[in-house]
Amino acid sequence: MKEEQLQVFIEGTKYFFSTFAGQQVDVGVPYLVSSDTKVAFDYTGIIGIAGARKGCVYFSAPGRLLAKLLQALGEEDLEDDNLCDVVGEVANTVSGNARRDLGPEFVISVPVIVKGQLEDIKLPREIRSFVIPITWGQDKAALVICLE
Amino acid sequence: MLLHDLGKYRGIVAAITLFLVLDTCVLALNYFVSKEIQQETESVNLAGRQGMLTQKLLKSLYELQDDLAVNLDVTENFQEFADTFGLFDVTLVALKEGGMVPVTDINDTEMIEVKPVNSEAAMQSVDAGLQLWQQYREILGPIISNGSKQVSLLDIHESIATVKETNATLLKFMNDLTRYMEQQANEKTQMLQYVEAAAVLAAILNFFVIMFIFVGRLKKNDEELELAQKENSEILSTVKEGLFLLDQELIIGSQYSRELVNIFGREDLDGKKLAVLLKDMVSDSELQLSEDYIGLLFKEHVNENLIQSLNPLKQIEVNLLSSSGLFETKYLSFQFNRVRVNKLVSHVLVTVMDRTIEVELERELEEAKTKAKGEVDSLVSILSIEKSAFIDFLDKASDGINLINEELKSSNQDHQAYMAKVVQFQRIIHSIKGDAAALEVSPVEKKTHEMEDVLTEIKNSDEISGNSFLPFTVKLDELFSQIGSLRLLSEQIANINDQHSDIQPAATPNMQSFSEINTLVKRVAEDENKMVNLVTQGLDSHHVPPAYIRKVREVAVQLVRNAVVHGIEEPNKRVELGKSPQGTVKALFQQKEDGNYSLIIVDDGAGLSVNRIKRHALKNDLVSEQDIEKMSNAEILNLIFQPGFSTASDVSMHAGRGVGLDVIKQSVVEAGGKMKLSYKQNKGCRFEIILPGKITTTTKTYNETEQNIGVEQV
Repeated sequence: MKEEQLQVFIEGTKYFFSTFAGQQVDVGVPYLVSSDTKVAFDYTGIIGIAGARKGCVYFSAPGRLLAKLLQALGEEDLEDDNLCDVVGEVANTVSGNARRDLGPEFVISVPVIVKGQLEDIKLPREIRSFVIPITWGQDKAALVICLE
Repeated sequence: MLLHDLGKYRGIVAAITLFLVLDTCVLALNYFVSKEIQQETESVNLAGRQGMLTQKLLKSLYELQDDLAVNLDVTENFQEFADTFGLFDVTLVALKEGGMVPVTDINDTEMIEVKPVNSEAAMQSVDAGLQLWQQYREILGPIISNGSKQVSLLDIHESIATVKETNATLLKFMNDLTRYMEQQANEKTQMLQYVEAAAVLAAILNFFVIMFIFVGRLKKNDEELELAQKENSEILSTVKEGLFLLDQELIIGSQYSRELVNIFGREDLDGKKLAVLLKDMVSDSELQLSEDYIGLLFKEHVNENLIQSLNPLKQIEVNLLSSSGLFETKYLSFQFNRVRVNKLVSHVLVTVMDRTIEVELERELEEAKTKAKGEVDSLVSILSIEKSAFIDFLDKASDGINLINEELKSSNQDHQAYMAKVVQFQRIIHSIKGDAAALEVSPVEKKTHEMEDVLTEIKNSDEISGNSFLPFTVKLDELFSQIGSLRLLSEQIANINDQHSDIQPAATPNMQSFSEINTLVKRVAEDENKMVNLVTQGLDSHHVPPAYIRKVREVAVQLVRNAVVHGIEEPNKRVELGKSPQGTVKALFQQKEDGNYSLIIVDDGAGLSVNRIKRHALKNDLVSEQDIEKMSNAEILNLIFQPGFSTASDVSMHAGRGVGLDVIKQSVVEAGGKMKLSYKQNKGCRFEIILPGKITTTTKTYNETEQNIGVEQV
């Protein structure tokens, strides 16, 4: 069950890139990090999860990847706001996908966008996060899933 | 408004009313008495005028007499005489009986009303005056009625004689009357002054009564009210429940407890509808149900207790999104109670309790129970294992997990690299499984077995991608948790042991270090339907140097297990071969003369079969057919030390994963040791591990190193 749940978030990410950006992502080997280790690039879109399982899922990417993503989406304005928007869009698609596939016992929030480090997120110490390395073209990003 | 509706204001309203009534009475009295005094003053004036009129009458008689004596026209003086007589007469009668009296003279049309005198003294004066005046009427009356033409000097002489004689007495009576009336008027004035003074005094008293009693009482009331409000607000700010009132329109009242703000994370609740508060917390249908339920509470004929079970908000899970993007889950319990005023439902009191801690505790307890059930097995095994051996196992497992995780993290994205990882992970996991089996930590043994399944699946798939490892990572996480909780469990046990340090363990730790090998043999033999007798010698901490304990245990565990699984035949097979149905495995440890240490594992089983090894190596693509043809027997035998080699035909808990000997090889080589293998078909197999007498410490447990293995066929 747990593996399928993780797969839902991965599929959401893959779906965004293959459908909207026209180029698939490579999903790397998933590994674990302790919950106090935050895998963060420049911009992060976080969705909160509650209900059957609690925690959060976030997609974090460097500005360069997001800028290329914006261009792939036909947006010429690569300002900060737009980079935030696009990382939010990825998270939003992941969130929507999860809402559809995980059923009503999961409560899934709309994304919150964070720029820079993720210091504010407090996760239970005893659990570990799954880090799914994402490669898109030459750039690396990460999908991090932390669920109790 | 009725007096009894005034409540505590009754007294002050009564006092003020009394004050007003008193004031009105005094004013009215003043008005009437003043009016009387005015009339009496007029009467006094009239009485005074009577005195003057007696003199004027005499004077007019003398003037008339003078006129008649010198034969002048008497008309004017006669008229004055008659007027004076008339005015005196009218006035005197009026003073006796009451009536209208001209203001200035008898011909004046302006009249004033005169009341009869009422004091006894005045009446006596009036009566005496009237008596005397009767003589005047008798003498003067006819003269006047005859008119001025008929008047004679004689008549006047007579009149003067009479008037002169009595005039002083009449004047005295009139002056007395005046004095008495003045006195009466003065008395009334004085009475009025007294009454007014008394009224002022009463007003002042009333004022002080209002000031000191009622104001004091109001002040006290205010203080009580203030205190009540203070207490009220203290209660509302301290109470651990969210409290508020709802009216029939389901609007939140102005007073609510501080906790309500904490629970809902918003301050602006006053005057808001309940729906606003519950929005985003409950579904639309739940909200509708809740509103219907509260609506029922406002219906008098509905029994509150009966419908309590309908409360849809008895316990709800609420997920509030914090600014960091994470949900905060709260479990809230709403309770609704009628508030009655004058026996009618006026409001509904809503009590919101944050039951999060309770619910979470319940849940934790439930989890702990479930976990405890699973941990009983582990607990039993931990209790029977020597502490250091168990800690060793946990440390080694943790090292293995961390190494795997590091490897996962640094993975290159190509099939070949992935393949290499799988083999490496298999070896590590197998080693952890072996240790777990030896220590009978069955949850870990089971989990690592599952992980081996997953790895085999990955290995057998045509295309390995990063995502192929997801199920493995998930299981790695689970193993992580298992090891974590076992560590916790062992720490707890250690604490208990520390607290009861007077209780000695049944067996000495020295002997315990390797005792798990015995258990392992029994269990594996049972699982494999074999009969095995284990003989050990020197496998204890007297003989094994501390630095080798972990290594020797690890190697002995794997080799003894291999001997049972792969070496010893099933009892009927052994009988067919003319052997005893019970096989024997010996594990001997000793220090040799050259100072090196030797661990020998011997079994009287099937030995090794070159052909079987060949077949298996080909099947598992360890070597090509051409290569194997060129290989010597020794080289073929060496294949059993290759990663991925296994000869057991079925995959079971104890064998068939293709890892085992390579782990041992690895372990021996990294300690700078050697390994010798000799065998004889159907007679048995002998492994000898030589460890250097001079111990070199190694930190990396799972590193690949050079081969240093010798195989010989006996």
